[in-house]
Amino acid sequence: MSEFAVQTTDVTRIYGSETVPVYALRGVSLTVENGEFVSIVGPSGSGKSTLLHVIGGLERPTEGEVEVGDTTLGECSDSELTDVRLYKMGFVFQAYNLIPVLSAVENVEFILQLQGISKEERRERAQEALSAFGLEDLFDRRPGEMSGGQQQRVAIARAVVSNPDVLLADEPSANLDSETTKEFCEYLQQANEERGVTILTATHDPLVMGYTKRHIQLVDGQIAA
Amino acid sequence: MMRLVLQLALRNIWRQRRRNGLVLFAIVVSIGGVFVMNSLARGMEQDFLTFSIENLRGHIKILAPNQLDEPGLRYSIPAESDWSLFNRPEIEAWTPRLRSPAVIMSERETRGIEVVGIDPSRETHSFIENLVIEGQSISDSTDQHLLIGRDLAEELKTGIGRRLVVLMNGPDDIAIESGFRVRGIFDSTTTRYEEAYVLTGLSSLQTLTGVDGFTEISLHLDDLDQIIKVQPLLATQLPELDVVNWEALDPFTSEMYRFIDFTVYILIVVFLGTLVFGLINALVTAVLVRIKEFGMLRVVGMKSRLVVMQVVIECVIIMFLALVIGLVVGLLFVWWIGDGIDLTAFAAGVEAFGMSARMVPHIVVEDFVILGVASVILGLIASYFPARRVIKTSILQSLRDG
Ligand SMILES: Nc1ncnc2c1ncn2[C@@H]1O[C@H](COP(=O)(O)OP(=O)(O)OP(=O)(O)O)[C@@H](O)[C@H]1O
Ligand SMILES: [Mg+2]
Repeated sequence: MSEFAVQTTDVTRIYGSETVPVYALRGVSLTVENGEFVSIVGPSGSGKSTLLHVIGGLERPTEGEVEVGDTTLGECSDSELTDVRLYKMGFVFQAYNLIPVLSAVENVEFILQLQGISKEERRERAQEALSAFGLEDLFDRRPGEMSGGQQQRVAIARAVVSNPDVLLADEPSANLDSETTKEFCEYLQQANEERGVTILTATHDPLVMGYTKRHIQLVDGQIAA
Repeated sequence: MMRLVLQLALRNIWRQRRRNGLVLFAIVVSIGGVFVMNSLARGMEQDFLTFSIENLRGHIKILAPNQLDEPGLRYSIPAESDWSLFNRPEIEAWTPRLRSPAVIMSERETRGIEVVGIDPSRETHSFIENLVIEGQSISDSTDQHLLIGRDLAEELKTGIGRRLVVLMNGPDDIAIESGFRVRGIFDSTTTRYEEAYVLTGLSSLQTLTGVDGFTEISLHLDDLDQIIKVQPLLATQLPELDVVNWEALDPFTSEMYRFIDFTVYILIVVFLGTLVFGLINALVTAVLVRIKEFGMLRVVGMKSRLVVMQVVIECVIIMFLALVIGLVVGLLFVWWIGDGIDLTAFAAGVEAFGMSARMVPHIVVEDFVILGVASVILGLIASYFPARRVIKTSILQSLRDG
């Protein structure tokens, strides 16, 4: 295992045309150690989502390099990036995290199924993960039959079930009320502390920031001091 | 992994059951419709064919020289020839006849007809087999009586037991005139037979005319497709006679037959072509509303290949289901039509045209298979478009849309 979980070097991401470029990120360099719980904060449009997307291999930086563990993302093909996401990363978004036609336990199993893990083992691990996030009574519920907070907890369970190196969360609490957000953050903290998952979360929410040990402040696509 | 994809596909089909139900319904109607139309067209085709064959033609006919240009008794096929060449598995039946144009007279009227000497026991595949007869039929080859059609009997104002005089050209161009007694009157499916043919015993007609032979031999094969094989064979073995097939004898029906054959395929192509456009449209919309979900699947590590497979499987399942239901519905409909749609109300006179007044469906297994295979292939082709749509949209774009 490398000494850091995530490292970006001079990452720049430019949108738009050559004549009217939009700089979403301008030379972002940062290192996140293994086991850190970090929030990425900043005003709207400052590049938080773009940074997470670049780290998650969902888009490629215009310049610069991203390393996740000992993998240099720039050297990976699209198909290899898919595997990096499957085996090394977990994702939690603001909404639409779950597959509507699958039950909670099937949604969590889905990742293990893609990894080719046997049926018995998957079921056991999925149930264990859901139980860890207080969902032992909701195994067979479909996403449409759960509250927003419950759905986000299923999403964390799914994100951590395969023991990824990093969990990337983009405004995961945006649709939750403060009570549910608190509960959600406690579960994130639990994943971080008990499972040792490195967590990067973009957020506007001071409540979420309160749980993280480090804040990375973005302004206009640059890290503020 | 296949199981996973299949499970997702099935559940998603069920989730969008209203939309998919409509798509399914549209395909079922198209396929069922094509199937019914196809079997009606095939029935019509069959009708034309039967009508032409049973009109004393057979599949292949062996004619005495010059019969094609000038039918009559001048040339004939010697009766004592060796006919063992007809002992072939493809030849189901053969029957010799002596035919001549003639004038028939009653006390009241005169008509131009054709006298046909037959051996009734051998007329197993011509219209003579299925006649409804008032009085008596021709008993055997030596029968000297006449069997005439209902229409002709009415025109001649004659009836059973009455005498008629037949006048024809003998083999050496000397007129032969002879009296016959009417023994039976037949009704057939078409007035054409009733007006055209006057039947009597073959050997009695031979004795009367002094022709020791036949003007034609009509052959019935066990399969239409054997004509290509049998005709040239007979032609080489009987060089001095004319060996012709039904298409040469009846070019009009032959053309109709080929036309329907062609139309049937055009029908399939046009219908399925239209169907596939509608299908692509419906499928693309169906995946567009789920584009966000596909994006999420790709984010968490589902390979594009698997996502494509899921879309394709969904399409093929719907297509296959619709195909099966469509064919079953089509079959049920054809079964319900059963012995035909009666067209007499709309189509007086179609009979003279070589068509019966009933439209009887006829199922051709080959068409069935073509329709099935074509539909599944089309389903695969159609699924390519929604699948491509999913893959061509970048993951982030998919997450933003939907
Ligand atoms: N696909 C795109 N095309 C063009 N510009 C884009 C695109 N995605 C992001 N941007 C621009 O890049 C900049 C950073 O966007 P980003 O979504 O990373 O901000 P953010 O910090 O996540 O904002 P928010 O807090 O509103 O989610 C913004 O100016 C945005 O308009
Ligand atoms: Mg954002």
